[in-house]
This record gives sequence, structure tokens and C-alpha cells, in this order.
Amino acid sequence: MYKKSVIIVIGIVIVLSLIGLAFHGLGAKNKGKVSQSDKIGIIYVDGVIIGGRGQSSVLMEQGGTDQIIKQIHQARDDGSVKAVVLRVNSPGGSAAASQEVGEELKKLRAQGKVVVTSMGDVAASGGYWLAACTDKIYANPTTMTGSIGVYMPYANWEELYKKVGIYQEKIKSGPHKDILSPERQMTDAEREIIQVMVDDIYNQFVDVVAQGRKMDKEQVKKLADGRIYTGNQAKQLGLVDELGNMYDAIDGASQLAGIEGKPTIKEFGKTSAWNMVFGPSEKISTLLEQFLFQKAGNQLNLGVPLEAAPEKWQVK
Amino acid sequence: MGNVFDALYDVLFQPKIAMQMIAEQKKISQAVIVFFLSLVIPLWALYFGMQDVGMSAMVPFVIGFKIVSSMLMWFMGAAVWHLIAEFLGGRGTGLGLFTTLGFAQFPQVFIVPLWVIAALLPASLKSIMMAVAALTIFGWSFFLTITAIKEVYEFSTAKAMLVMITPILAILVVCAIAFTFIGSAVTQMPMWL
Repeated sequence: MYKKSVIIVIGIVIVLSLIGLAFHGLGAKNKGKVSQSDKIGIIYVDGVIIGGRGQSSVLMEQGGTDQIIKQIHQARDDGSVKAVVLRVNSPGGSAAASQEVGEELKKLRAQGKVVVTSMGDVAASGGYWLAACTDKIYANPTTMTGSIGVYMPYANWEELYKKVGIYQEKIKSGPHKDILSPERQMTDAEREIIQVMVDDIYNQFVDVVAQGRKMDKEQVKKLADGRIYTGNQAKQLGLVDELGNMYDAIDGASQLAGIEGKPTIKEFGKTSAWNMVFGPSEKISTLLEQFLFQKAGNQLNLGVPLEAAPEKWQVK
Repeated sequence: MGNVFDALYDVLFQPKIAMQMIAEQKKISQAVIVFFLSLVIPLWALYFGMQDVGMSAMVPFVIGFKIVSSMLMWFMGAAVWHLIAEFLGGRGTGLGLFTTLGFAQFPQVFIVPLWVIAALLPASLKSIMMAVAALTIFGWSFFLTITAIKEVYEFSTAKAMLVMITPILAILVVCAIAFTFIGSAVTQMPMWL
């Protein structure tokens, strides 16, 4: 009987501890008046902005703007998410992919959600396109931003091919079907066609910035000569609203959304345990980017990259 | 030792007698209940601990791993240790060892009250207390496992420890051999850099 009593007492202590543990955990969460219902979603835009599904592994896909758009939709459909902080750490990328995400951000705002950008190391070109589609932009004073402009790279390897002994012939359906081919000199007519395209995309970019930043189009064009700015310079020029880090952006988003107390953070696209084990790794991402943007070179011409492309493309 | 309460009391306060009786009586169902309680209750602490340090994404993976690995360790540990004990002249039964090993996990339930006490301490002492608690519980379970092997096979403490560490030594030896072979293969490769 004595032994039974001791074990029962131990059992009671353990049960009380389990209950205490549960309450202690909840107590910790309640510190600082955390709002349980109103959340701020964080969506990360890291690396080169490129359309499609990104990297694929055996069990899942990761990266690419399709994933970012999915996360924007999740934030839109989650009633508890009152605001979204777009954490941008990107040198730019494809114009179409940037435009696609930018349009989704506008739709998210139209649904009544506040969207605030927090710029990391760099948020240039396509990265700035996305930022311009949000309610407010935060940048660090040393963030690299701006680079509002478009270019289409073209390499002429004609002389090299001659030296190597490669002579390519093409049977074309039209005179411009092989425009931007690296094995021959571009014609004046083709140059004009490409210039018109670049100007068209540039004007669309300027429109997005003018509309998003509520600036005069001519004023934007003065700033949009392709140069990069520091966060500090961008603030003075009106391209950025506030100087601050991601936590300042979270506080700003919280204020704009009218969230009282400390908001609950919900990270979209957060790496799960499953993803850590079976998902694509960072190393693969780097290799993929290297292949797409350095090795494949001009084969990506028709993707119309913004000025985020590496210098290696600009063979003269 | 009529019921599970008596068995648990003896495991905590008279482990030598307890392990002898448990090995004799081989009450598998009681061992299974005690083992699962000893597994599930600390997982409660683990769950809240991981939530507190912001590792909630890892919770299903870690808990799943802990459950599967603990069960495998119980079954495989009993099988391997029994084989080694028989090689060393032990006369106990595999079922006896399996039952006692189930009961040997019981001290792990104390991690929860100890965690709660640690949580009430100042932040500077909290992690130290957690580490001390974890080490104490580990040491207690280790001691009970040694006692279980001793009493099931009527071994000396040294022999029981030898049984326990032999699988670990075997793994280390296999790893050392593997690394030796891999190392010699790598050094024979042409230098690429």
C-alpha cells in the first residue's frame, strides 16, 4: 500500500507538471500582449527573380515565382493575416516574372491587406519593381536599390566561331526568326526591333514605379537611368519611404494594418523538417543559378532580363 | 511485487530486487505500458521545449524520429545484448531482458517535473538546470540498464558494462575500418586541384 501511494504521488506530480508545462508554454507566448488573431505574414524573395516552378526535387518544388505567387495566395486566403511584409533580397531577374509577382501584390492589396517591403542587402531592378507595388518601402541605409531600367544582352561570337571552325546555317521562316543569334552580327533593323522592345518594357517599369510611388512619370524617368542607389540616397529621392530593418518594417506593417500589441508572425514558405531532409538544398540553388545565368548565357535572351544580369553577359 | 505500482516503486528505490523480479515474472504488458509512458511523457516536454525555442517546424520530425528510434532501440537493443550476453556465458532469457529494459526507461518521466522547476528558475540557471536534469536522467536510465543486464544474466557489473558497450565498440571498429579503406582509396586518386 505504501509503495502504491508513493507511485500515485509521483504520478500526480507528473500530471501537474504536464499541465504546468502546457500553461507555461502558453504564458510565454502571451508575454508582451501578443495578438493571437492578427498576424503579419512574411514572404521572402531571395535571389534572381525567375519565372516558373524553380528547382524540383524528388518530393517537392522550391523557388521560382510560382512559389512566391502561391505564398501570396495563401496570405490572401488566410483571414488572420492582416498584413504582409515582403522581404526582398534580390538583384532583379526576368521582367515577366517580376511583373507577374507585382500584379499579384497589387491584387493582394486590393483585397484589403497591407503589403510592406523590407529591403535586405540588395533590392534592385526587378526587386525594386516588386517593392514599387507595395504600400510602403523600408530599406537599410546601405541597401543597394534602384537600377530602374531594362537591357537585353547580346553576345557576338562570330569571330570565335570562325577560329574554331564552326559555320552554322539556318533555314528561317522569316528574316528575324534568329534575332539575337550569337553567331552573326545583329542588323540595324534587328537592333531597332530590340530597342523598341526594351523601351516598351522600360516604359512599363517606369509606369509601375510612378503609380506605386505616386510620382510624376517624368520625375521617375530622371531617376530611372539604370543607376543603383543606396538606401539612404533612395530615401532622399523618394524611392524608399523609411530607413530601417525587417523588424521596423514589421512594426510599420502592424501600424498600417491597425494591429494592437505585438503581432504574431507567420512565415510563408518556411522550410519544414520534411523540406530540410528531402527538399532541394541551397547548394543546388546556387548551382542552378550559375547554370542558368552564367553558363547558358545568351540562350536566355528571350527571357528579357532586367539589369540584374552578370557582367559576363555583356560581351562586346 | 504484486502489481505495476510495486514494480515501479522497486525500480526507483530497490532496482536490484526489482530487476530480478521483473526478469523472473516477464510481465510484458506492464513493460509495454511503462515503456510507452516513459516515451510519451518526455515528448510532452520536448514538444513545448521546441516550441519555445522556435523550432516548431522540426517538431513532427523530431518526435517521429524519437518514437521510432526508441522502439527500435528497445527491440534491437534487447536482441543484440541478449546475443552478446549468451556469448559471454549468460543464462538469462531474451524476454526477461526485454521486460527489464522497458522498466529501465521509467526515470525518463521525471524530465517533466524537472523541466517545470527549471522553467521557474532565472534565465541564467535555466539551461544549466536543464542540462543537469538531462544528465541525471540519462545516468539513472544507464544505471538501470546495467542493473537489468546484471540481474537477468547474473553477471558482474564489469561484464554487464561490457555487454552494453560491445555493440557501440563494434560500430566504432566498423567505422574505423571503413574510414581506413576510404582514406586509402582517396589517397590513391590523382590530384585534381
